Amino acid sequence: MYLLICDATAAKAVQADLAAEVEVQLGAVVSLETASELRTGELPVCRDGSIRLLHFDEWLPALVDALDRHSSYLVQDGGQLLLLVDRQSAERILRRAPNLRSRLTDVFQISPEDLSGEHPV
Amino acid sequence: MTVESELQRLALERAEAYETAISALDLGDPARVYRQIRAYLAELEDHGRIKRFRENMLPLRAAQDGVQELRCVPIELTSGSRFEFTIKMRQQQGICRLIEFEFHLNLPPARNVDMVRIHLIPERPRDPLQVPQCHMHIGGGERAHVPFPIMSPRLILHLVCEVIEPDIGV
Repeated sequence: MYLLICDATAAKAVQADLAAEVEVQLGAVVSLETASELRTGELPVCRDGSIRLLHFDEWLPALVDALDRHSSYLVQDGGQLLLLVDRQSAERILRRAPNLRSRLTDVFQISPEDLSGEHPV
Repeated sequence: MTVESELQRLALERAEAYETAISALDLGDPARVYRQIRAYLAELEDHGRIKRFRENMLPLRAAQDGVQELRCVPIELTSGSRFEFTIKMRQQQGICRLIEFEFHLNLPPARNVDMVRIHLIPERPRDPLQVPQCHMHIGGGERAHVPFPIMSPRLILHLVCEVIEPDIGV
């Protein structure tokens, strides 16, 4: 489970980059989800090697609490959960959700790729 | 029909077959071609086949008339060979067409052949009998244009690195 931090304005481009790269490198499809569109009580559980990317498009404390409470069930059997958030939300999640925080493999800052190679990140 | 005119007719048929094959090949998306080639080159580096690969060695840039150019600077293989390539593509109405490419492989001095070049020229050549639109040069021979089939650049790169490079001129 990874926490990926990006500018809110770049989130769509980052999602497209990640989906394209996973498809090329792993031949897998990333399931793209938006936090505000998750139904109440629905959690992004990754089973059977599935890869899900959840974009926190707004601050949803109830969802963060639910993710924290069920953090040990979110990723199972080789699945991967990517949480895409802006910096402010990242700080709030890390403060509010200690169980989730302890299960993160890593935290990265990410920005859209520049394929021209002129502006290396 | 004379032998010469028969040859010209056959060469024109071949030129049309090249054009048909080029228009039938949809590369999908220039960014996808870029990602596939980048992943492949990174894998070659992981396996110790090439000495050093960095992402800025493979820029994808917009050229004129909606053409996207993917250019790879010379990359050194651990065998002592070196290759570089340029691929030009144009995306139009959801289809990504191959416009032009050149793959250049330099082999080490110990080999009997010093270089192999595979070239797709952007338009039907003036003399299709002598110059097929897609062709290969072997060694220093600039006049010998050996016909080469149209295929995905990703497949050509594999052919250059996995088939031609280890085996030519050994």
